[in-house]
Formats: sequence, structure tokens, C-alpha cells
Amino acid sequence: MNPILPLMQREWLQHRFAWALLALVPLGLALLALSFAQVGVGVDVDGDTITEVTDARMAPVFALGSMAAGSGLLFVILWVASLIIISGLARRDHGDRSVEFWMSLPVGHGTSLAVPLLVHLILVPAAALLIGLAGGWLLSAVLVGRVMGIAEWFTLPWGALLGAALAVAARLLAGLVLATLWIAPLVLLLILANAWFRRWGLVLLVVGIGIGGWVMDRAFGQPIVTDLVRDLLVNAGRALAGASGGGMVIGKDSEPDLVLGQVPGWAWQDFVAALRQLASPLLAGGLLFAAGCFALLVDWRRRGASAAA
Amino acid sequence: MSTDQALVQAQHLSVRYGARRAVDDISFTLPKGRVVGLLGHNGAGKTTLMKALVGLVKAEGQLSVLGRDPLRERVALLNEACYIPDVAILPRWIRVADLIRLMGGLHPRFSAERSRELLRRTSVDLTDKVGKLSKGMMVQAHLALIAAIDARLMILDEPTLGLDVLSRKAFYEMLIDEWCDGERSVVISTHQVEEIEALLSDVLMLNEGKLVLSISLEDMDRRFVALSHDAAVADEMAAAHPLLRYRVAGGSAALFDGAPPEHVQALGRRVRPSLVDLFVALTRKPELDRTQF
Amino acid sequence: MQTWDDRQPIYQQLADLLAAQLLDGDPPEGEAMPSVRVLAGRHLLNPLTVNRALQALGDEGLLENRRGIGLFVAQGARERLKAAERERFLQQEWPRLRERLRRLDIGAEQLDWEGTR
Repeated sequence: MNPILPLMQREWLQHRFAWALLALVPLGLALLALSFAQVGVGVDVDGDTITEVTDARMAPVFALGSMAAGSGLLFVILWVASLIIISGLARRDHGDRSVEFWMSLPVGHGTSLAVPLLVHLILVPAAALLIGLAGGWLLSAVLVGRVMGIAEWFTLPWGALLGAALAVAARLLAGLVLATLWIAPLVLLLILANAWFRRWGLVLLVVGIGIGGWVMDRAFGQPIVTDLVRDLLVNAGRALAGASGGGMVIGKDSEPDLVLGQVPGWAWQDFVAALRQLASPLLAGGLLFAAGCFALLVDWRRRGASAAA
Repeated sequence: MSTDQALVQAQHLSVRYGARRAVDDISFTLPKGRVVGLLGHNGAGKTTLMKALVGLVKAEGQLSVLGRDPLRERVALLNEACYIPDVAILPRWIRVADLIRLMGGLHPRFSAERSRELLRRTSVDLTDKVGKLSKGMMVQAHLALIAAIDARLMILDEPTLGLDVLSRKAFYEMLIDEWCDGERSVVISTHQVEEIEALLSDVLMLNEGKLVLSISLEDMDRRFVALSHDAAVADEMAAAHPLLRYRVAGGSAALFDGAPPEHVQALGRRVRPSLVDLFVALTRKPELDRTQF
Repeated sequence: MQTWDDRQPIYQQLADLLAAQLLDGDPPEGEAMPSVRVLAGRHLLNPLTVNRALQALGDEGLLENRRGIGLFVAQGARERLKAAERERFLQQEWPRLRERLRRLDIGAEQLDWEGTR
């Protein structure tokens, strides 16, 4: 009997209302804001004048921007929320002692820990990204409609637009997986710290890394600790987007259609660059470290985490 | 008895928490088709022993449950055995109907249909949220879940705690109707010794981690002798070194392990030693350190 | 819940209870006894205990085991039970009752033999 789907179902049952709230409220607020506020997009052209843009040619930019904003907003919100949820993974269910119930079921310790990690670190942010994209698409109708008139929205080059949007979404989704690999050691260390030290886990971790880093830097001249952490985070960011180092160059007079058409290509190349960056001893070490933390977590649970109050 | 008959075999089983031995050198065998009462004061080691049986704590010595090593084959074991650590620890945020669905997906021997059927006999509704249930209703819901598991070995830690008389009676009826089929064995720890005595076929008595008695109720009747007597012969009774002297309706009684001398037996009338009396007799003087008889 | 007293082992008390019911014709001779499971559920006893009680009744010749079908009330069981009860009354209860009547100075002619049936 495969417990993976039921375990995923458990996460859904437990968090669906929170997720729905975090996803729909921002979209709803954005919708209200766009519908009733004074909407205009200004562009700073010469440094001291803001000219309001109503040029219909900017419509695709607005649409894409709206989808990107929706997508990005929900992604960040739910990703942060997921990190908060997942940091307490080891000790959740301890409050009402229901952990003893879960441990009396025929599910391996490793599986019980791995499935929530998958759901919260990858599935939820991914879903948020896509829902944000869809939401942003709806919002783009309101935005474009109010600034340029709804007719403009319908005549947008949807083929190229959606192609670009989906390409970026795909890049971000793939980037999410890669970024998760990069930050895995940090996340698992945090979960482990919270397992051992309860709510002091994060504090101790930050202090520990801070002191450790300072000591290594000043006393030994080896800023290795802070460098490690910084490098991991930076690489994660690049894995998410921008691995190729630069954005696209958009000329002031270039045709939106053409520009849109180039986005998928750029996204693909960025992804390939991110893949190449995986071949790094830093990542290998980080994953090993993360695996070690995971093994310690499994052992902690097996040893009778239920014995601890 | 033959080893393939035994559902549980423990040899020199010990569980240590640091320096303290919660379970101290215990050996016993549990055949199929039994209802075993696990008796002991708080802290005697009952819960620890149960956890050891399902691989939730590390144990020294030999232990085989349903032919498996609980620590190494925990998941495989839990597919065929059912362990209820506490009947009041269901997740509070979940609705009963969803819990039934999850159990169906996580436990191969759980019948969602049977569970819903049993739930209908209680005052708990499928749409209720567990956290909103009163303690008694939560226990009823949990028992309805447990009863729908078709396991070969059921291990229950104080299943009737917090239940009123009617609910306890319903639980005992369910125990007999559903679980006493001659193949399945049930291990129950409880404080309601008097109530449950009639349902048990065997008893394991723990005191300070040690096994002070491991016996079937049938053998218990034969081995222990309780003599009810008048106050006049109290001194002679005491001189025969009974395990325990206590009051009964209308007089006093003395409890002996094995038959006392003939002349002592003639002083009183033989009565049935209740499990409660035996429990008091064997667990009230921990320093006597009686190992398995 | 039924409480069992401390006089005899529980299985013996159950056997006595069932015998008293047999005396009242429940179940009648030649009929099947309720199954072990039913009896266990009715009296909230472990089935092994019920088995011992039925075994005891069988040993006294009150029940017979029909292979493959189950336990049945033996022919003549009621008579045998009545005879045993009669014996016990005459040997134990009657002397006590007689002593009591003597102490209270009640003669045979003062007792209401017919009574209301």
C-alpha cells in the first residue's frame, strides 16, 4: 500500500484553507486596487519627467508585467509560508500528541518526513506560481482595460504573450527545483535545529552561524562559514532565474512581438546555464550535508521522538 | 507450546532510558486467541513494553512479534498488528470523515466501510471536527476506527480511559464480538482491573519494570488460594505467611501462593482470589523484587 | 455489568447460571445451546471461560456434543438437574430450614402448602 498519496492528502487537508487565503487574498486585493484606484503607469524617460504611458504598443508589456507580478507575488508569499511551515516539521503534531497516532500507522519514518518536504518546498510554490500566473492574466484584463481600453486587451498578441509567459513559468518551475537543491542543507539544518532545540532552533542556528563565521573570519582568516552560506543562497537565486548572468536587452523601439518571441529562447538558455552550475563541489557537499541532516532527523524520530515531551 | 503458535516471544527483554531500566529482563510468550491484561502501577513499564512490541523504542534482548523483529521491520509489523497508544490523541484539526479516508489509504487492514458503520452507533457525526468532540466522543470515534482494523495482534494502552460505564460496556462487547475469534490476540493495559477480569484469558503483571506474574486466569484459579476466615483465627493465618491479608464482606481473608498446610486450610473457607487482590499482593512491596514465578 | 462473586471460579458460576436456566427449560432438551460467542457476548466473558463452563456442564452429562453441529441439551438433563437440586435441598437447605421453623415454633400445620401458583 503506497502511503505517498495519502500523506500528500494529509498536507492538503491540513493546510488548504491557509493556502487558499494566502493565494486569493492578495489577488483579490490587487483586483480591488486595479479596479478602483487611480491606475496609470508612468515611465521615467529623462530623469525628471514622468510621462504617462498610454501607448497601445505597451499593452503587451502591461499584460506580461501583470502576469509576472501575480505569479511572482503568490510565489514569494507561499514559498515563505511554506518555509515557515516546513521549519517546524519535526515537532509538528507534538502539541496535541497526535504524533503518536501518526507513528502507530505503518508508514516509514523517512517517508513521513520526505513527503511534507516535497509538498511544501516544491509542490506548493509551484502551484502558487501557476495560480499567480492565471490570476495575473485575469488582472491584466483589468489593467489594460482601464489604461487603454478593453478592446486593446482582446487584440493582444496572445500567442506570443502566452508563449513568453509559459516559458518564463517553466523556467521558474525548473529553477525552483534546482534552487531547492541549493538551499537544502540550510533548510534541513533548520528543521534539525528545531527538532533538537524546539523554538530556539532558528535563534541558535543564526547565532551559531554568525559566531562561527565571525570566529573563522577573524581568528583564522578563513571566512568559510559565511562564504558557504552566502554562496549557497546566491546560487539558489541564480538557479531560480538569471543564471546566464544578464537579462534580455530590450531596445526602446523594438517591436513587442519580436521581443516576446525571444523570451522562450532566453528562458531555455538561462535554464541550461543553471544546469551547468549544478556541477559544483559546493552543491555536492551541500547535498551530502542535507542527506546527513535528514538521516539524523529520521534517527531522532525513530529513537522515540514521542518520548520527548 | 510450539513457536508457530506464539504471536509474541520475548526473552530477557529490557528497555533502558539512560541509566534507568523501564523494562527489566522480561520473558514471556503470547499465544494466539488470547486477551491479555497488562497490569501495573503508573511507571511500572506497561507503556514502554507496548512500545517495544511495536518497535517504537529500542529494546535489548530477544523479541519477536508476529515472527518479526519490531525494530527492524516496524512498518511490515504494523501492517498486521495494531497499536493504540492512547485513545485521545487523534489529530484535532481533521474531520472524522477525512480521517477515515486517510486511514483507508495508510492502513492496509482498515475497512472504511466498517468504520463508518460502527460510527453510526455512536453519537459522533462524520462531519464533526475531532477537535470539537468531547473527550468521551473522541474516544468513541477512535475506537470505531480501531475496531475496523483487522489485525492479528491488537495492543491497546488504556482504551477505556475517559469513557463512561455505557461506553465501556459497549467497548467490552465489541472486544468480544469482533476480536475474540480464536486467531487474534489482544493486549490491554488498564486500571479497571475488576471490570476487565472476566474478559481476560491471561495476565501480565509488571512492577517497577519487572514481570512479577505471567499466568493464565485458569492457572491463577488453581495456583493461588484465598481463604476467608473469622477474626479469631487471624493470628494463625498470619503465621502461615500469606501474600496478602485483606478485608472481605463479613470478615477477613488471606491470600496464599500455592496451597497452605491442611490445618490452615481448615481454619477458613476457600474463596476465589480476585485479580485485584492478587495485583495488590504482588505489587505493593517493590523491594521484595520477585522475578518471574 | 454482571459481577461475579468470590465463592467459586467464574466459569463455575457461569455453569451454575446456565444449569439454572436449563432447569427452567431454557433451552429445552434436544435443542442447541447458544454458541460460545453468543454466551460470551451476553455475559461479557472471555470465550475461553465460556468454553470451560460448557465443558463442565458436558462433564456432568447435561450437554452433548454433536460433531460438526455443536452443543445440544442432552435428553434427561432436566431430570438429572432436578434430581441434583432436590438432593441438595434435602441434604443442606431443608435441615437449616427445619431448624429455623423449630426455633420459631412453627408447626407443619401452620404452613400454607397450597399457596398461589
